[in-house]
Amino acid sequence: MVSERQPRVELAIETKELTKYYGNHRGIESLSFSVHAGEIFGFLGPNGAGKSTTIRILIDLLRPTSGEARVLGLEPRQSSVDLRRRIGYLPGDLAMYDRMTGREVCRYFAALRRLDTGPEVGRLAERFQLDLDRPIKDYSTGNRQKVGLVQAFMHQPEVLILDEPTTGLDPLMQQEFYGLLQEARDDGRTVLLSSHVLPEVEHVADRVAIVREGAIVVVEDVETLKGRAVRRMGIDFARAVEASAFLCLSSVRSAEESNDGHRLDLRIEGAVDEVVKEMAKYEVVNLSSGGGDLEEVFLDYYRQPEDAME
Amino acid sequence: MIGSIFRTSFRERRSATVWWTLGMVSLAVVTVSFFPTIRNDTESFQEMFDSMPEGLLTVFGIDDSTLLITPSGFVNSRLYSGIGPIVLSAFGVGLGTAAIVGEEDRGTLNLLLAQPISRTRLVLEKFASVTASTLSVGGGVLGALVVLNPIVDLGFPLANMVAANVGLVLMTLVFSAFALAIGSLTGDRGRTIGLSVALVVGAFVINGLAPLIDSLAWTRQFSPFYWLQGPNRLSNGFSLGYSSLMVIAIGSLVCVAVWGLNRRDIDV
Repeated sequence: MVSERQPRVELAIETKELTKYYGNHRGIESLSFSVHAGEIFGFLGPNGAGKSTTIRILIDLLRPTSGEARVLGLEPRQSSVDLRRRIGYLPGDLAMYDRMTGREVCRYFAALRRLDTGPEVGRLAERFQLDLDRPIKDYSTGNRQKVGLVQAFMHQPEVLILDEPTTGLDPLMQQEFYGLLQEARDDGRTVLLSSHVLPEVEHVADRVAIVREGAIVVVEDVETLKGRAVRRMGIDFARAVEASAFLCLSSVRSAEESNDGHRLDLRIEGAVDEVVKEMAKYEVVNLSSGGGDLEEVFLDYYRQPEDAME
Repeated sequence: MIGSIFRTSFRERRSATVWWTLGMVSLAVVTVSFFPTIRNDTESFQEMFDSMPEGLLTVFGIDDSTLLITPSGFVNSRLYSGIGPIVLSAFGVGLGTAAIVGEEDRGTLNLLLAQPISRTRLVLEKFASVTASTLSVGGGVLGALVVLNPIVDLGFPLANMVAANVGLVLMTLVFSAFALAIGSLTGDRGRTIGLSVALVVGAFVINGLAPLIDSLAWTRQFSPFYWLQGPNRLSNGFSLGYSSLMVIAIGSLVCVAVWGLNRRDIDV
């Protein structure tokens, strides 16, 4: 519940030089980022980049080797119980009590929160088309994930920390989930959404941090990042066209002719307006457009060796 | 709600607890039912016990073979030493392991500790549920004994039967608390079971063999099995000394568990 007495903090989550080593093995190293109150923040990176390590420090499941973390202005270890009352968490590696039903799991956690979340649980289950009265062991991966989501959302927490939340959800349920995230944001709640798939984060997040090998590579507005996204466009013309006519446009990165100049394959960065206007001068037989998401920008960040960064 | 972890954990193990209780009750029934056979032919049994090497008798929990033909000597050495306590130590280790490190191993501790509960409360409620399960088993054995007492004409005072089963419960809880402490300290289920089994074996060996070696006889005082068997509560009643010792051991181990779980990372 968004509580009235708590002073509103501007930064819902903040880490400074956060470092976690497991023996000699690096978890994260000097990781700093902040999440504004009321935004959906995407936490993006390949598996093993340190996303879960960071998240688990915020929940006080792990203790940092050094550095600082704050959630709602509080230090996770000192204010552990108080903070977890205000956080909804979905672990990346979700495991639940196999012999309990979905409803029993939710009731158990609600009792630990001293809340009656029955109506909210019912509402969420309905949205996710989830039958709560079967034992967890009989659920598919997707349905287990839904129970995990229900328990994370049921107490309407101020901060939602979701580690790979769409694992196993079918596309329809993913849409439902995105809707839920947007409603949470509209309510002024904050979401930290970790994922290794870009379209998901791109779809709902306001800002995104890309994590690689235990460190933040970039924190950026999704819109700004999208501006850098590379779009592929294939145009079939009725008559042969010179590639140079398009190559001179500022947004076109490359143009490839084929089919005796009847087809052009373009890679466009940023706005497509110029290209559309140029294209309109010719008779277009067919047009296809792909990419347009952040995949390429993202993969660039993933691939960059550490020393070549910055 | 305070008690939710306790109730849920207890309920989760309810059917297992019922089976363990039935097992121990059967053991009690079978053991006690054998006693009339001895009573009806005291002399030949006494002869047989006398002919057995003392070492063998000690290993089987029989310190003084002349006591074997008495009801309290017989039941104490057959039910409150040897197979009974061994079975219950396994039960205790299982419960103590499942409580924390078992949940961690299954992965459920992640979600449980994402709820607004302190780790201290988690350990305490978990141990309370372990205690409740152990009390059910101890209560079952006590019930069996109370019913059989007049039937077999054992002549045990009720207070002594209660005392013996309080001892049984406390001994079991010593092993549970040990497993709970190791699990909370290490987060390693395999190591928890390994060390706990080592404790059970070690305790069994020093209880059985130490009395045979004069210079080592005193080490028997360190075995939880001796804390149960030694004072023979069935004939002597409640043993304040050994019972307090067990309560202190349990309390200290639970404190170690609280400290251990509070200081470390969960499910690394």
